[in-house]
Amino acid sequence: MTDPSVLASFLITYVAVAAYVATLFWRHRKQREDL
Amino acid sequence: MKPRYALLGLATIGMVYGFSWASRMPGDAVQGESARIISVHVPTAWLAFLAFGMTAVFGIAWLVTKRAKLDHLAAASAEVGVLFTGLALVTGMIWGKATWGIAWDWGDARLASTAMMFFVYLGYLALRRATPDPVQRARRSAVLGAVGALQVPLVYFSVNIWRTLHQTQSVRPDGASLPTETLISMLVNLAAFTVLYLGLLLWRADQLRVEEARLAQTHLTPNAGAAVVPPKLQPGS
Repeated sequence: MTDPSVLASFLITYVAVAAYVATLFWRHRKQREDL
Repeated sequence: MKPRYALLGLATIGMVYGFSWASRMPGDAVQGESARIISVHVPTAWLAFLAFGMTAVFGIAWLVTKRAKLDHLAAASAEVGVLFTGLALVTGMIWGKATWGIAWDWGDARLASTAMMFFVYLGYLALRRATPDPVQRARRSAVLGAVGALQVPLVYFSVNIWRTLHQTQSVRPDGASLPTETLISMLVNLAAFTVLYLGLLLWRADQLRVEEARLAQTHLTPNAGAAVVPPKLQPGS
């Protein structure tokens, strides 16, 4: 797991998924505030 | 607890477990360390196929039943599919650079057809944003989703139809051409990412439902300006 290309692949995937989950959470909070 | 949170929690555990398998699997004799990328590249590519296939299924079901929930599920599935197709392209490019020596080749059938599929579903999301009427939006996107899904088998079998740079499937009905640890690592991640897809799908579809309900309410409520009536001019004034 020390290979930079392997680390980059896993890191990009996890960060992208986390970012998408964060946008969903943000939208969810905004929707609750607007109600 | 809502099912989506349970699914996302389960997916997180599965992804941590999948990562531990990926770090334990042996490096490949030819590909070396970069063979580990398959543990994340294949699940993301699988999710792209699953998500776009489900977009078509939900869209066709909407055309038959006209239930708004199905349209929300179709849209949510396409959005998640675009995310994972993008990830499949990026991880594939990193793997290609490490293994083939080049990140991209437009002459490769799998790469070019996956990129085309990615752009078609970006167009699907753009079409939804450009159509304000919910029924019209659902109808147009259901048709595009159904036609767009024809690409899924084309992309999947492109490696068999056109023998270019990308290798053929490693897992076939007659067996797998992968070491056991590699196969387990790939399958654990595949299962975890599928659960993740379900959690994201339910969450996003629910948000689309709320968004659409709010928009409908906004359109029903007359705005403040509507109450202002221009004064009638008296003759001779």
